Amino acid sequence: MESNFIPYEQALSLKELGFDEKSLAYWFNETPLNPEGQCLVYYRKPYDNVGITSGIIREYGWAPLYQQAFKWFREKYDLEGVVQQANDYTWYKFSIYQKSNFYTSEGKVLKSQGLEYETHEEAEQACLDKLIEICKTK
Amino acid sequence: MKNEFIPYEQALALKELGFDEPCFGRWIEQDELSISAPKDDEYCQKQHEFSWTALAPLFQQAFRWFREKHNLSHEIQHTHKGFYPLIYEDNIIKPKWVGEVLLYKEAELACLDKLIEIVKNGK
Repeated sequence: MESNFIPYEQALSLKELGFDEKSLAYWFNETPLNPEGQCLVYYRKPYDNVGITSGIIREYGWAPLYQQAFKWFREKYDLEGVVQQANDYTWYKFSIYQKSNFYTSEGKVLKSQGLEYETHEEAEQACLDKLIEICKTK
Repeated sequence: MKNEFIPYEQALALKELGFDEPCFGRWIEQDELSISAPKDDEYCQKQHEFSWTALAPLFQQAFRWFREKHNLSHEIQHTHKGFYPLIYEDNIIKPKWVGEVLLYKEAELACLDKLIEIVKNGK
């Protein structure tokens, strides 16, 4: 079920960019000195108002679903990330639209990166990275 | 969080089509969605025999299921007029237009309905 949530590093970036929406899980690190110790904790409704959970969420942030992250970029930054099947249907690419401007995985913006992604998930991940990069440099 | 899950009717349709994967929610009946982690709720782990209940996949889960089980990919395209859904079938057939709509959520739902229809009709 973890694959439904964006990875910790990206979640952290979204938190830095202002993402603060409730999700189905949050990140927690029992050993903060270990940067790889982050784990996903599924939010349990009966404990909604327990102070410690709120504190952890304030500290580490929610774990957004992929669909939540893309929706947030769409609504907050007017950036639409779209994963597409390529013309020969054997690989995936992505595009990012913003009003009249757009960035694509085939265009100038990503020319130094791989243009072809074997899976939808890889393209989705790369698209999210690009969305974060665009917003961070705004 | 309710909006993150596919609606009741579509969840029932997916159940009919064989969707049976752990979910973060289940539809107990038309207007009652129960949300919890699958490991905390055995009813979120697999479909229940009662015909009026169904696992409630997230939109992304439902679309992934169509992609992986039926080789049907989708895309919500963006134009200056709004959004419209597009479906790729079997990696061979040209994309088919599903229809033009204005709101993202509507396009997403139309896409899901079309995917259900395609699989129900045996492609």
